[in-house]
Amino acid sequence: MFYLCLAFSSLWACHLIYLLTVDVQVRQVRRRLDARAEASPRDA
Amino acid sequence: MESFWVALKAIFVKDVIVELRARQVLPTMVVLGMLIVYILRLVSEPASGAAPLVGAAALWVAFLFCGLLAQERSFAAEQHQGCMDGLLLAPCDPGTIYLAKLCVNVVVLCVFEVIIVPVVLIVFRLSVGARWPDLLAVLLLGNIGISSVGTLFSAAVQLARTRGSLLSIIVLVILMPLMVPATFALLVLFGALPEEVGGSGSLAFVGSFKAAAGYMLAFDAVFVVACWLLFAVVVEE
Amino acid sequence: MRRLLFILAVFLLTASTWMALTAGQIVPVQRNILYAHVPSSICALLCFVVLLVAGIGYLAGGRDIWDMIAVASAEVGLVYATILNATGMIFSRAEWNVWWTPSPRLITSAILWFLYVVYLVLRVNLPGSRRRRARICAVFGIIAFLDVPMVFLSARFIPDMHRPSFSFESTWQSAALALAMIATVLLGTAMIWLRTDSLRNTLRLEEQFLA
Repeated sequence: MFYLCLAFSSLWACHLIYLLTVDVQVRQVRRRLDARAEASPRDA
Repeated sequence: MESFWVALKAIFVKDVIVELRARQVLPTMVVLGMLIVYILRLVSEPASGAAPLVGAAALWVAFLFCGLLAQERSFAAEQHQGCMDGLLLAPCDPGTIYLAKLCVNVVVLCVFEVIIVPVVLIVFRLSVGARWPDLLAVLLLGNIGISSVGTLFSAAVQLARTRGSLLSIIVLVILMPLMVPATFALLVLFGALPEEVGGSGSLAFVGSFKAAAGYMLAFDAVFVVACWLLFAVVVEE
Repeated sequence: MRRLLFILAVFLLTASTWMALTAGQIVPVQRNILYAHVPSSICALLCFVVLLVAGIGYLAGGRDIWDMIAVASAEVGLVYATILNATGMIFSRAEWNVWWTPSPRLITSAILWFLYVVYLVLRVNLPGSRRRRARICAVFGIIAFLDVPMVFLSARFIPDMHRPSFSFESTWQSAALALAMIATVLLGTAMIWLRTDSLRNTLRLEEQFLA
């Protein structure tokens, strides 16, 4: 029973770690995009 | 078709002559191989009953690592003075370059084999008796498999500073499945396993010698053809 | 669309887990790890197929999107290969009290895991232009795909000592397993899609910077 829970938690943990990594990366990209848009105001 | 054989022979002869003159790769390979064999013998001293297994492992590990040395060299020499561009401008397919380099690597590994196999047999106190043609055949099949993948990826990693380690990880991971029947075949030849092993028990393998040799042949066929076709992609610029 | 896929996948996964643990429970309770192990093995293998298709697509067309699909599927494949190995080892600990034994199943999952790791290491360490790196990784992806059946064939030489009989006692069990497999494949697809999108945005950002 313990091993069953261990297995399923490892499954969810792996998924979550990966999704968190992707999320961090997306946030970095968004931050850089925002900084770019702020630094160089576009001429209309 | 004519230019295929001409180009193949020309590149092959060129590399062999360069190696005979420089004498760089083969001595290093032999020394590395012997060190691997001796280290494995030293560390397996307590388990002396497992001599055939450790001997077979030592032989294949030596082949793998020394083969990597040879394959890395086979394209490293072309990086100077635009030799690689010169080769690619030759009137033949890039695939022909691959086949020529593959033949060179196979020959180099064969020479290495001639030196290292007696060392392994002596150090681990093994004998193959009358089956030495089978031993040569198994080693040749393993040889071709090791060289096929290594030659392709050697061309790919040449620009990297850590080219040796990159090549090692690529080749070792792709050759992992080949090593299982290869070790099985060697164990049968060293007499540690019967010709056909079935069922379970405490033995480490199941299957038959013919199946192992057939597998190695299939592996070689698939990978030589695939690497030959993909070589043009790797060297295009 | 992608959010829908995610929600659907998570819903199906929970549904299959619930079904597995109530109606379809396998008697020695740790055998239920099977419901996590088998779908992730299917997904890990499918990610190799995606890697092959993306590699061929990149070499044939030269459009960057194929390269990004390849990297995404290598990463998601690594996630599933990790789950495969982890559940396999936990299962072998639960059944035979050893974390690792040289059985064909564990060796096969280990080699698959290593193939993904080497793809990603190669991706990071290859020098040269982005195109060259993408090309060589595509070649490695194709060779790795050719290696996978070889891995399974070579595993026949290793004796499968204690093989639990995977016979289904009731239709609930096979339904739960099938549902779990579909759910995991959908989840994997959604993750590959998500990752490809994030890579595409990163690329767009970098190209904007250089332009």
